[in-house]
Amino acid sequence: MYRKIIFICFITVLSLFSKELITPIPLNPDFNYKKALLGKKLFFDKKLSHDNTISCASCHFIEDGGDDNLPVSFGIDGKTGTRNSPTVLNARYNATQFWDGSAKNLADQAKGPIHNPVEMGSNFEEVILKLKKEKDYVNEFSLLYKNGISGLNITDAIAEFEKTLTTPNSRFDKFLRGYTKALTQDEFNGYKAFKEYGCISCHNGINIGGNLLQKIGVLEYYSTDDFGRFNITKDSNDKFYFKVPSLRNIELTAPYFHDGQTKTLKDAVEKMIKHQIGYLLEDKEVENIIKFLKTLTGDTPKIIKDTNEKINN
Amino acid sequence: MKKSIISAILLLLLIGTLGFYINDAKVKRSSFFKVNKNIEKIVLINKDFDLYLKNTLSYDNFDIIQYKITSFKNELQEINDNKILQNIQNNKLKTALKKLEETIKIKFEIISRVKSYRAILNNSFRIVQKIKNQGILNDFNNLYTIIMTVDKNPELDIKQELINVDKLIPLYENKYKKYFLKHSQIILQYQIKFVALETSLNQLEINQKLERLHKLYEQYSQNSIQKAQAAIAVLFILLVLSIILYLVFEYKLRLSNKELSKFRQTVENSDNIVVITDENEVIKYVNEAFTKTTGYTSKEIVGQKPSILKSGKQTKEFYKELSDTIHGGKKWSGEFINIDKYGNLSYEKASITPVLDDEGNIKEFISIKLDITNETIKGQQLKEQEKLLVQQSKMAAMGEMLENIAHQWRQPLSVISTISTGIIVQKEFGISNEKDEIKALNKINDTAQYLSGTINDFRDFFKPNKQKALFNLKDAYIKTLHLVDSKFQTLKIEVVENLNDIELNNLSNEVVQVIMNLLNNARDVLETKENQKRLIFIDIYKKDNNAIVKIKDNGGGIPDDIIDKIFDPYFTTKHKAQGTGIGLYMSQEMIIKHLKGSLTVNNSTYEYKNYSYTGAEFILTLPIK
Repeated sequence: MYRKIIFICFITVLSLFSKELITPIPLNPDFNYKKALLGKKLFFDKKLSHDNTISCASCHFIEDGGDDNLPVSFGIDGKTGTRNSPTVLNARYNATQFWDGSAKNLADQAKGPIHNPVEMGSNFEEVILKLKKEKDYVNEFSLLYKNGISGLNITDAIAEFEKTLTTPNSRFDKFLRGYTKALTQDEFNGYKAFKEYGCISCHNGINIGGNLLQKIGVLEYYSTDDFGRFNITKDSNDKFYFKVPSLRNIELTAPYFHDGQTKTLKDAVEKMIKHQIGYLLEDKEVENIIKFLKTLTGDTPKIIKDTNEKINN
Repeated sequence: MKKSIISAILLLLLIGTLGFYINDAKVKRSSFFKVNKNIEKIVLINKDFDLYLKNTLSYDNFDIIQYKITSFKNELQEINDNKILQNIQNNKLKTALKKLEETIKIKFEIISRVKSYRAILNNSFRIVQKIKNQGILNDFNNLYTIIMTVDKNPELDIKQELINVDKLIPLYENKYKKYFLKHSQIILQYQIKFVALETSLNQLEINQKLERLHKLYEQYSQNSIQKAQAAIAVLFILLVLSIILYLVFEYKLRLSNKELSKFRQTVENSDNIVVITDENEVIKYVNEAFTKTTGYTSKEIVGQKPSILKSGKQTKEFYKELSDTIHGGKKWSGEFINIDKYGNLSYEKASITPVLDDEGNIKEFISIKLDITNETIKGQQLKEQEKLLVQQSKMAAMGEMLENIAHQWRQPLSVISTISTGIIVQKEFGISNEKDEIKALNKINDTAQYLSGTINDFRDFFKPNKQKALFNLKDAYIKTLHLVDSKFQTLKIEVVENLNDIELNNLSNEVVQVIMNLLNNARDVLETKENQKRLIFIDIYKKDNNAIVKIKDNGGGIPDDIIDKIFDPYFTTKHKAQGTGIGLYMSQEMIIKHLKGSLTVNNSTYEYKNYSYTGAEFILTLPIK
């Protein structure tokens, strides 16, 4: 009996949620304030890189879309990687991190760039050694974590800071919350097309993406050297599978796709239609979709500040 | 005391253990409940997965399925984190859980793929529908039907259809037709993949595994809870039992303490001195009587040795014998002459008992003493008094003797005086003749001899003989009577004798003195009786190995109210000048203590020569051997 009731409730909730394929970003996201403050310090700290030249913020401009607007980012010694750096904004709402979905959460993700030789080119031991020389770090870590400075605690703090980086209040979110005038007619038509042509079958959920690994080039081969998820799993079924990126703030996060080779939003939309949807759209429809995508830009995240510091200053 | 502390600690331990077990069972129960809930949730979520996987084509919010996957993982983590399963000994359950974890990972991957395939299929079906609606697909009606029923027609050879479609694609230039074929191709391709996924999904048998896990877990938890309950029941019974035992023990302890305190109080307040020392004779305990007798308080004396009380009046040998006896494990008894705190002597009758431990070693000595100082001194005084009495009675006897001597000598002296006067007169008148004179002188000589003999008799009487000797009781009596005879004759006392010869081995002088005393008493009483015959009956005979001397008078007897007191010292019926009251007392003492015989008295009424008389009858009984 007990089970049945729960089951019925579950089904009801399921059906309620499934009505809306996209959900708005919460206005007041939860996070641990003190850990986030420490994470913020680490996020901007170049000591996380081997030669003290690169910080997280070097490639993720928080106030400008959360990425660096370069096809591929520069690491230490001017080295470059092969993939476009994804935005850090709203990253907390992604089901997995990295283009190939190889990190299951934010903290897991933060470990990657520190160790990647073409990014920060460092490792935990080195970073911990550097951080331990600074009294502030030692104190703050020991206050927040039982075991003080450690690799896991560094990435945990960074992840906590990244949780603060959300962009609520986009016009589309306002529309979703019931303010129908938030979208123009064209934009609304764009949203309709977005649903009609099946964009929404991959780009859904709170982040309008970020919760699915999908093959790029379903209908037409997408020319790329990157095998995506295959590199991780070595499963031929996973060839060209990449994480479907979030469309939030898409206007700000050019260039597009994992290779960063698509510079404009129009090109990106057209490529998606060509490779993924496989249909002929009218120009007006494409324009409307682009207009709709531009309504996904939310508030620029405010970098949290230490209220105590303010008072001291 | 120790025992009760130990038992109290044991009791507390038992209560603690019980508390721990109850708490443990509580925690376990809630943990079991929690894990059970986790498993039930997992079962539910898994059903949602299956529901999702069977769902027909519609848009999905992947966040929801992702949320469910996360929930499933969390529930699984909670189960793994639960202490109950971390300490689990049940291998079946562990492997079941492990297998579930492994297979669920595969299921998650399948779900991830299903998501992606379904997005593609979803898209393609929609586009196909859109192209179909444009009414340009007359060539492909058959293919359209195939595609639309692809998942419902098990007879369909999808792979063959796919080959057909592959061949068709290069033949068409129309973009819509080309897109239609491409989408058909994708639908067929992904349908194959989908079927493969479904097969591998079915092979996972997650539902069965979950069911098995649930069943195993319920069995395990029930077993554990039953065990815990049994343990609590056993502990509870133990607790109750031990409380009862404890109470009984306490009760007994109280009882024995009560008795002990009674005993202690008795010892404490006893008139007897009680001293307890350890095996080295160091005093551990003294009671109040000790303080009363010696003047030392308990505080002063504890830790000292009893030798502090030595007066020096007893020999080294005495103490050595005492020490040897008690250290040999034997009881000693004797008398101490001790000195108290202030230098006064005290006499103590004491017994010292060694107390042995379980192994037979001397643990302590208990000395119980009675202060007999007063008694000892009294005894000494009594002895002195007795000596005095003896002296007095001897003096009295002597006085009596002197009187007897005087009495006895008066007649012979008068004889001598008469004869010598006669001779003188005859000389003066010249009528003396030698024959008469010699006759007269012989008579004087005889009389002087007689007097001399009398002196010997009296001297013998006073000579104490310490040695027992054979003598004839009858002769002794006759000798005694002879000493007092003259006074009897003066008083005209008739002595009626019935005498037998009896040889005795005893102190003859003492016998004589007693008989003389009894004769004198009879004479004294008869002396007061005027106008009557004065009679004394003497019987000497043998009876049952005893010699009996019976002396009876006709003096009227002893009044009943004093007959019991006549042997008491200083009791007398006579005038002060006549008697001191020590005669009968001394006589009885002598008979009992020195002669081992007895002296009794009663009043007797009898007939003599047709007359009836009453008088005192003294019976002196002496052992023949």
